Amino acid sequence: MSTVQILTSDGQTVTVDRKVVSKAGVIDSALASGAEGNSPLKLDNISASVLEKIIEYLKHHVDDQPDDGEDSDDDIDGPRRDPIIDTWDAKFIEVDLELLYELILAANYLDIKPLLDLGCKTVANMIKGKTPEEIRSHFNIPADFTPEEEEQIRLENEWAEDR
Amino acid sequence: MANAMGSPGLKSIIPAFHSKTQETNASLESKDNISAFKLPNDVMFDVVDMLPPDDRKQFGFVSRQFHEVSQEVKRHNLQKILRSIRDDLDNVSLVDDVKHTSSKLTAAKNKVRAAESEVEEAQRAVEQASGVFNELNDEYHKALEDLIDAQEAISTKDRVAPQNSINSELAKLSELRQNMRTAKEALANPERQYSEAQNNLKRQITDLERANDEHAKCLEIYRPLFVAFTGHTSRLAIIFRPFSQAWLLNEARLLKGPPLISKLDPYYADGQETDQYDEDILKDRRWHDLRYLRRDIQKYLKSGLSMTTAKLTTTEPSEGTSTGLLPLLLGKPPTLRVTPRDLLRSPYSSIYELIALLDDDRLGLLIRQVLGEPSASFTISQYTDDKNTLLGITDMRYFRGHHDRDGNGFYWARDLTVALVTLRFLHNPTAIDPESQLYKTLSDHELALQIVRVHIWAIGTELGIPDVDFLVTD
Repeated sequence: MSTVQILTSDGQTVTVDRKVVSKAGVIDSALASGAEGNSPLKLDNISASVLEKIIEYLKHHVDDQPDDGEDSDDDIDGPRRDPIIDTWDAKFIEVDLELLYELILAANYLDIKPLLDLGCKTVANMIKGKTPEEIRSHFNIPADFTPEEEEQIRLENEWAEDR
Repeated sequence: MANAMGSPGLKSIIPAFHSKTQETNASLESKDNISAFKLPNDVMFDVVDMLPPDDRKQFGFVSRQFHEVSQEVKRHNLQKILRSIRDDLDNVSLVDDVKHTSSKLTAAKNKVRAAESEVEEAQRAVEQASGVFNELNDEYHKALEDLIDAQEAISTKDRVAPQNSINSELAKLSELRQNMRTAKEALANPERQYSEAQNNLKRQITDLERANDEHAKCLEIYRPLFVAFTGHTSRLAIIFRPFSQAWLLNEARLLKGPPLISKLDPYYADGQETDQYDEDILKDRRWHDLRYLRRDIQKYLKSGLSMTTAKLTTTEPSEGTSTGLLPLLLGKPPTLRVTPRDLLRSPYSSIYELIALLDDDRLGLLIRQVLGEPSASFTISQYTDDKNTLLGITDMRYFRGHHDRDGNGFYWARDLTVALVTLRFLHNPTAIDPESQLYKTLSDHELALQIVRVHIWAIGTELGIPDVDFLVTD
């Protein structure tokens, strides 16, 4: 079995099955261009714990067929992607917000679209049904609008609501 | 990422990627043990994409970053739809093709008519020449008989008959022969012309059939395109609700008359004085009404294909009554009386369908009926001469007469106004013969297409997208 060594941001070297890690677009490109050489691949932004979580995900989905990723614009008004998360993924993504952010950012960085989608769906599900105040509170987001800005946005969106 | 925020790749993603150690907003780290929100815009772009409409509305209110992302999503969607529309508009020349083939069809029909006239003329010439020929022919045969008789007389009477008598018969026979040759020659020319005219007629009929096929093919392609346009418009309306103010102002500006907004104001229309206005309520109601106005145009666009031309073309309006045209419009037998309430209950689409199809006389009649003034002498041309009158009468007078508590009277008057104005200012019915089949077939489609174009143009202008200008070049 061919393996690849990866050096994480916290200085740990992790050995991964090449087939598994190749599911990450950025790593696959790096391997294809011969970047590996004799030294491990360096991932400055990803810690070992996050990488292990990602590898767990990739191992589970190693035989999945890649999605063509085309957006549909047939229904602009509705969610553009299937919001349903399968059972294994749902269990996998049951993590605290900090790790969720790290996983999403890493998936974005490494170009792992299914994991990025999973993270985004999870965040979207957290947002659904919440008021702006509840969203701020849930994600610890400061209310940074000035009163004037807030009024302006309120006016802009006034006619969007059916009365 | 496979969206407008950037393509995947190391270089493009790294700047947006903040690891835990790079987190700058450290002050938030410790608050209630919840990590600070750290997803970048490009990721949030995808998140918005997965939200249902109601949640998207809330999204922009959360923070500046969320607002920025929500605006970006709207722009992205607009671009996407505009691209899609542009693709379809590549086929918009089909509209011109339809007009072109229609012209060819008309030209071919005219040629056929001309050829038919030529044939008739040639036939008359042939008949005339034939008459002369037959007359001469009869004379010739008679002379021939006389000659034969004379020759027999000469032979049987042993040359008793005087030579001069025989000579006279021979001279007469010779003259008749000559006349007959002349008549035959005279007949040859009309016969040739007749034959040529017949061949020409055959050619023109072939051309006519070809033009007819070409025209039919164009129409066949044009219809699904129209459906596509209505779909696009509907989607644009959904995405750009927040831009409705700009759209409506543009719409009002297009009318080139007094601001549509004041004419559509229910308080104004109700005849109340300005000082009675509650400014806040007025503002609120105004936009509320205008939003419905646009929605109604959308409804019209959607219903554009469902009209029944046969119903209208077989109907004779009965002047001075509420029977005739309107009952049919409302799906009632033509002899039943139509009340304003019937009108209010009628689907908007029917009203628009009717107006899109009516010629000036019938439209004038409809207005008079709606306004409750069957004996009024004004015509639609007088309306178009004075845009203010057009807006004012349809809005104010009807509203005063038939306003009910829920404001339906107002909406009906407004819808009629909008439809009329749209018809007159965006369409140009004088350019097309109302009696032509083309008008009956395409008038609603053309109108809808024009509305779509203006709609897209207004949104594009609002967003500063110059390349949508091509959509309204017609």
